[in-house]
Amino acid sequence: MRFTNSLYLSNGAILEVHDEDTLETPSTSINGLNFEDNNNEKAIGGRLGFLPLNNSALEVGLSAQYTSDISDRDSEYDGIASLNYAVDVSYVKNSISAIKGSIDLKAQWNQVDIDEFGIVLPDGDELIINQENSAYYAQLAYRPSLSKSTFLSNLEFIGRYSGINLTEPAEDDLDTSEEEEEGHHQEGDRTQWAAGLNYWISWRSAIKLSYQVTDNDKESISGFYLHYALGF
Amino acid sequence: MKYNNFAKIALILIVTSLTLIGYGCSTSGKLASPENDDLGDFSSFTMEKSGAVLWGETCSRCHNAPDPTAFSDQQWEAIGQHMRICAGLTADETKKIVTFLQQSN
Repeated sequence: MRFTNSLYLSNGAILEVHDEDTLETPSTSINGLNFEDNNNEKAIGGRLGFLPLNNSALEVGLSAQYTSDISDRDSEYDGIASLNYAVDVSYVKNSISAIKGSIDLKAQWNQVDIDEFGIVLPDGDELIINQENSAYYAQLAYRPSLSKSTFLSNLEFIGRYSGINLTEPAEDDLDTSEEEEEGHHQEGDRTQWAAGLNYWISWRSAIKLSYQVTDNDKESISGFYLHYALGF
Repeated sequence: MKYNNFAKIALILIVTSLTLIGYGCSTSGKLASPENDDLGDFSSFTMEKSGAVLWGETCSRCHNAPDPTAFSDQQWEAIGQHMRICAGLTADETKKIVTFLQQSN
């Protein structure tokens, strides 16, 4: 068995409160980009990886990040802690003769928990904000890498299922009108199925064709997507 | 607030660790047992992986492995040091992989 580990200290996430001083109902979002340091508290996090197989094909990872306060330094809110944690699984096996190719299975589940806090509304009432969001995905890819055909060996077939469970509307929805909101698929809980076909032009660039079906509480939206991906 | 969540994480860590440690113990027990082997005690025998095997097993867990000819010897040295951190490789494993790639380009 093999273990990997990592530990880090960084700026934490930032709590953003929208429409706090207007007649609109306030809402909140969490800015995960930590290029900005909004208070004196830091985020501490890390990951433990377990590779139980001798060929390192399977890896199970556990990760967590904790920040004792994500509110702004001068904010009226204080001591709002954030705890994020995740479990991930990866199984990558190359050159399996029985299937004439390689498989790549990946899955991850994330949870974001923010301390409950209250926002005082103009009429004196208090709006309680409780954010406990989760997201997950599972993906299986097969590449016929042992095929004698160069074209076939560069193809990769992928299936993916993912979902997100939010306790409030996404930030993008805050300013949308009712008409726009009706056709907007990024609000609240949703799940997505995707089937894709990649063609690897080189080891780090690929053309990706996929068909995705996204379901939320109101509707199901599907579409074809064509991407070009380049890694460095 | 977070006591429940800490308890969840601790529980997940404990269960997973015990499961994996149990699996590891059962596996190493089979490898070390000389009972069914007429050639004697092989418990002290270890088989080291070559750079080629390590390259095939570790690199592709996160990305397509580039062809050895994609980079020069000097570039492989720098890439090796970078990927040692990213992939959690030991110094010995990194040296073997880099040497294999330099000999193959």
